[in-house]
Formats: sequence, structure tokens, C-alpha cells
Amino acid sequence: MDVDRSPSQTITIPASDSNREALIYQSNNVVKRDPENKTATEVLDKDIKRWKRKLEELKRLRVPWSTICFGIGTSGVSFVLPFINANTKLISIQSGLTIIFMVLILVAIMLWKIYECNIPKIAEDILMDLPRLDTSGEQNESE
Amino acid sequence: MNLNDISTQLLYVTLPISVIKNNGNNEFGTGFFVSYQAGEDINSTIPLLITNWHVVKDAEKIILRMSSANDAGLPVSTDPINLELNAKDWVKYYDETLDLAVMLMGPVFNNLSNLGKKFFYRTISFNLFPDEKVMGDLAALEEVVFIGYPSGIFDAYNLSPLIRRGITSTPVWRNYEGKPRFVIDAGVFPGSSGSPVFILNQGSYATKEGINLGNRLYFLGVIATSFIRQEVKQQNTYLGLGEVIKSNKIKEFIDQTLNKLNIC
Repeated sequence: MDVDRSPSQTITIPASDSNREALIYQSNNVVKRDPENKTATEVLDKDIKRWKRKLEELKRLRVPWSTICFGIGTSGVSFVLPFINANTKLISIQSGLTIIFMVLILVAIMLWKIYECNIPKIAEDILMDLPRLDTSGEQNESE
Repeated sequence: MNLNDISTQLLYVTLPISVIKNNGNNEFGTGFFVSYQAGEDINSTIPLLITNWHVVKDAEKIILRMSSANDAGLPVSTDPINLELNAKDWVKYYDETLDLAVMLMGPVFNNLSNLGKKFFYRTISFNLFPDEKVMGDLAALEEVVFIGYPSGIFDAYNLSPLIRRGITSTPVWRNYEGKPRFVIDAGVFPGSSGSPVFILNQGSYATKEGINLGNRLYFLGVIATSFIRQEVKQQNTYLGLGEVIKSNKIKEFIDQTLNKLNIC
């Protein structure tokens, strides 16, 4: 298909004054480039620092000794009880219930610790902080 | 169209210049916009159209084609505005030795605005001109990009110039043959005269500090001549080399012109 390339609007511009006011056009149409560039070393240094900080946070995520002692103690008691009262079924059921109860307590403590330490938040932070390049410009024009 | 992209913006820095010479010949060249900030207000600019002196020398009429704009201020390239200028009124400032000419476009744009015409263009500001230190830090071999209308070829339907690539054949920081020019290895043809030459890196680029992340844009100069070898009588072969007038000389020329007008 042929394309019509004939000039659609031709305007003859007359001669004009060369005074300052006539020469100024009120518009800023300069080509915009990114305001700031960084070397790869600078970017990597920043990322390494961020990762180190996250690692330090992870190192602080320790289950306290009191929780461990409590867990070992209750597990031990639960394990020993059935042997002490092995003669009757009733006691056996009792010890079984004790074990379930203790396990529930342990799970509750662990969930509490996870919530307290905010592990999901830290994991999300780490994922979000993965090195990335943002090369978008300043302008927000689009067609 | 993504107007945040630097190379897309550069499409609107140039204009095709069609020149009707005094002898009736019709010639073609490239012009590009530079803006000088007049005062503290960033919107007060003096737009200038730069090209080679040999493009507009002995011209009678100059015809420019500009992209029009829609109500949102975005380009509508398929509906260009054709401007006819009387050469003796508009080509007053030139340097024959440097082979540069400048046209003051403020009155043209104000005229168009008064007529209710909307148009779209982008300009090169002085902060894209590399200073001596930046020039000196450039490598001898740099990839360059230039925009223009080689042999008058361009996408006339979309009023879009051709973007071409090349490399520096002589370092930007040296004066080729003692002139304020350097040579590029690229497809330079008549019609490319007046094409702005840039260093344009998007994403990453190497400097003496190492790999840099981000975009880099510098205006290096304007194409002035192409190298020709005459193999057989009357038959010229283009060598794919072109001379580029350095941007620091263009800045000096603009400053001198504005000084004459008591502007800077």
C-alpha cells in the first residue's frame, strides 16, 4: 500500500527580531538521562553490607536454653512414665495423653519463637534485597 | 513508545533539513537541537538548531520537518509540521572555518505556538557536553551512536531519523590532523552532515574505574565530512569514515554567537 508522504501542513515563518525575549521559548525539552550511575564495586559493596547485616540478624535467632531444657525434661518424663506404670492400660493411655500434651506445648513454644523472631519477615527481606538493577529514568512519560 | 528511554528521546533531537540552494539545487542535511538555559528558570530556554555551514551555505530556502504533538504533548510523527524559512533571514550566525551554523529557533517556536500548533522535540542541554576531564578519561576506542538522514534516507512516514553505530577511529581527546575533530569508523554519507554523535551506553559501561552500572550519555560532536576514495575517474567510493567536530568547539561557537546577541 502506498503511503501518502506529502506535507500536510507547511508554514512559512517570517523573519523575526533577535532580542532576548523573542529568542526565549518557555519550555524545557532537554533529553533526560539517569541522574546517578554507580560502579559495579559500589553496588556490590552495598549488597555485601546488607547481606552481612541479615546474617547477623539470623545468628541472633537462637532458641533459649530454658526452652531446650523444658523440652528435654517433658520428653524424658513422657518417655519414662509408660515404663513405670506398664501394668495397667489406664496408665498407658495417661502417658500417651501426656506425650501428646507435651508435643502440643513444644509446637506452641516453637510457633511463638518463630513469631517473636519474625523469621518470615527476615526471609522476605532477604528475598527482596537480592541484587537488582534499576535503570529506569526520571521521567514518567508514556504514550 | 517509551519516552523514558534515552535513545527514543534522541529520535526527536534531530530534524531533516532540506535546502534549496541559490543555483536551484536541492540538498539534504541533518540538524539537531541544543538548548541554552536563559536565566534561573529551567523553562526559559533559547532553542538552537545546529548544523554544518556547508549544509546551509548558499541556501535560498530551508525546509524543516518537525513532529507535531497531540493534546497530551506526546509526538504524532505521522502528521509533521513543515517549516519554510528564508535562508538570509535565519542563517545569520556561522563559522566557516569550523563548518558550523546555528539557527535561533525561539522565534520559530513562538510563532508556531501563536498559531496554535503543537509540536514535539527534544534538545541537548549543555550538561550533556563532556568537559575536558570526561573527554580525557574516555578510551581511545569508544562505541559511538549518531542520528541523522544519510543520503536523505529516513522513515518519512513516521518522520524518524536513522540511528547508526560506529567506533572512534581516532581518540576523542586528540585533535585529528591538528584540527578540533576526531574520526569515526561508521557509515557516513552525504546527508549525515550535521548528525549529532553520542556515546550512549544503557545498562553498563566500562570506565577507568571499572564496570559502571546505569546509563551514560555524552554528546561528542557533529559529523562534518566523510572520507572518499576516487577509484576510477568520476566514481567515488565511501570509505566508511567520517570526521566529527568536537562538542567543546560547538559549545564555544554557541557561546560566541550568544555573546554577539548580548545573551551570555
